[in-house]
Amino acid sequence: MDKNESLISLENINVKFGKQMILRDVSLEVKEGEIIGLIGPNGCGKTTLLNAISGFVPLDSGLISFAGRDIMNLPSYQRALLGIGRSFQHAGIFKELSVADNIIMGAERAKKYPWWWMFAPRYRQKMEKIIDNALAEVGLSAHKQSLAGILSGGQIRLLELARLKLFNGKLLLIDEPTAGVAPALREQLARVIKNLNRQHGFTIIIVEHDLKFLFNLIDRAVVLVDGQKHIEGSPEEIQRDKRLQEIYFGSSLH
Amino acid sequence: MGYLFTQLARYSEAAIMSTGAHLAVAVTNIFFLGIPVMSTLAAYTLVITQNKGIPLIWALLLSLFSVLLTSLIFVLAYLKLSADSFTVFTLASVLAFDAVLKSWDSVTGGVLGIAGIIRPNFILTLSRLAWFQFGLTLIVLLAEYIILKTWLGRALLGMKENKYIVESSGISTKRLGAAVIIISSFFAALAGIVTVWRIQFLDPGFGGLVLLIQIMTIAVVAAKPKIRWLAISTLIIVLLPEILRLLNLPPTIIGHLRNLLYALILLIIIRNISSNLLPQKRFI
Repeated sequence: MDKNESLISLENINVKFGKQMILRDVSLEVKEGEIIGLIGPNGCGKTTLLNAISGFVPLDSGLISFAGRDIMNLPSYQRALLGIGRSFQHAGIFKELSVADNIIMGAERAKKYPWWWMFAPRYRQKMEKIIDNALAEVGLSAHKQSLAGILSGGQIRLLELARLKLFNGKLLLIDEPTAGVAPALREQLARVIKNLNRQHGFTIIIVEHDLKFLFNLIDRAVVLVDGQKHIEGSPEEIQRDKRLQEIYFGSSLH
Repeated sequence: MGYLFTQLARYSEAAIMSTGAHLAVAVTNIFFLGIPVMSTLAAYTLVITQNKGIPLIWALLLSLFSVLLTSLIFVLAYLKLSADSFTVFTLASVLAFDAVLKSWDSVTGGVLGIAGIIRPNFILTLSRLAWFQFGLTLIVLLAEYIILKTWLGRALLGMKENKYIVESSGISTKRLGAAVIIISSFFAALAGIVTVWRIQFLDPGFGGLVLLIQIMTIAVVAAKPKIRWLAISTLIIVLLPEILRLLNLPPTIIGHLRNLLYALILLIIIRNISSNLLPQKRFI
C-alpha cells in the first residue's frame, strides 16, 4: 500500500444509542504510518468512534473501509484478523492470566503456531524467546511469571502495548494509555508507542486526555465535540485555534 | 470389593460429567445447566435403540448424534440470548425434559422403568466396568488438560474476564461458547452412557435436578480452572454423602440429606473460603 493512501477511511459515521446520537457525520481519513490523536471533552464520542471501527458498536449509518475493503459487515474478531488491533480504556489485559500468558495470547495467533505448540520443545523455546524479548522491551522481565492482575496501572499499560506489538496487523486503536498511570511511567509509555509506529510500522489512532503527552506523539489531531468533528489539524494548528480553546479547554493552552 | 468398585465407578461417572460443567462454569463462566438433559438423552437413546435390536456400536453413535443435535439447540440459545436468559433457558430445559420423561410412559416404562440393560461384553463384571470407567475418566480429564494448555483454554479463560479483548485478538467468542456447549454435552453423554451400563436400569428419575445439583456443586467447589481441583472436588462431593450411610437412616431421607449437605458445602465455599479460590497472587 502506498504511504499516501488511506489505511482506514470513515465516511459520515453516525452512531445512536437509543434516541441519543453519539456520533454525527464523522468522517476521517488515516494514512498508513500516521499517528492520529482523538481529543475532546468527556462523553464526546471518542471511545465510541474506536468501538465503531473495531466493530463493537453498530453504526446507524456511514461507511468504514480498511485497506480499501468495506468492513461494515464484518464482526469484531474478523476486523482484528484483518489487522485492526485494539487497547482498551480499562486495560486490555487478562488479569487472571500470568504476564507470560498475556504475551502468549498475542504471539501464538500472530506466529500461526500449530495448536499443539505448547507440547513441542522446539516451539516452546521459540515462544520463550518471544516472551523474553517482548517483556524486556517494556521493562517487565522480572514479572514474567506474575499474575498480570498484581501489576501497577502503568505496568498493565506496558504489558498491553507489549501484547499489541506482537499483533499481526496494521492499525492500532489505543484508548487512553495514560489513564491510571504514574507520571514517571508516561515517558516510557510514549517511547513504546513511538516504537510501535516507527519500528514496527503500525498506524495508530490514539484517544488521550493528557494533551502534552499526546501532542508529543501525534502527526495530526482530530477534535470531537458533542459527537461531531469540530476541527482537524497538526498539533500546532489545534493549539492555535481560539474557538477550540474556548469551547473545549475553557482558556488558552499555554 | 464390590462397594469399592461401585464407588470408583460413581466417582468416574461424576468426574466425566462434571468435566463439561467445569469447562463451562469454572473456566468460561457460561452457566450451561442443560448437562443432565444431555446425559439422560444419551442414556435413553442408547437403551431404546439397543432394545430395538440395533447393534451396540450403532446405538452408541446414534446416542452421541442425538446429543450433538440437541446441543445445537443450546448453541442457538447461547447465540441469541443474554447470559442470564441462557442460564434460565437451560434450567427450564432440565425441568421440561424431566416432565416429558415422567409423562411418556410408553417410551420410558413409567415408574417400572427399563430394566435388564445389557453391558458390552468387555465390561460384563463390575470390576472391569469400574476400571473401564476410570480409564475413560483419565482420558476426559486429559482432554480438558490439553484444552486448558492450548490457545483454546487461554481464550476461554480470557473470555471469562473480558470477551472484548478476546474478540480484538481475532477470536470469535460466539464460536468459543458454542464449542464449550458441544464439548460439555459430549462429556455428559459419555457419563450418561457409562452410568446406565453400571446401574443396568433406567427410569424417569435418572438425571433431572438431583444430578444437576451434584454436578454444579462439583463445578463450583472446583472453582479454579485446574484439573486437580476438579478431581479433588469430585472426590469430596461424591464420597462425602457416604458418611450418611453410617447413620442408618431411611433411603428417602438420605437423598434429601445429601442435597442439604451439598447446600451446606456451597454456603461454606461462598461465605468463607471463596477468596482463597480466586486466582492466587504471586509476588517476585
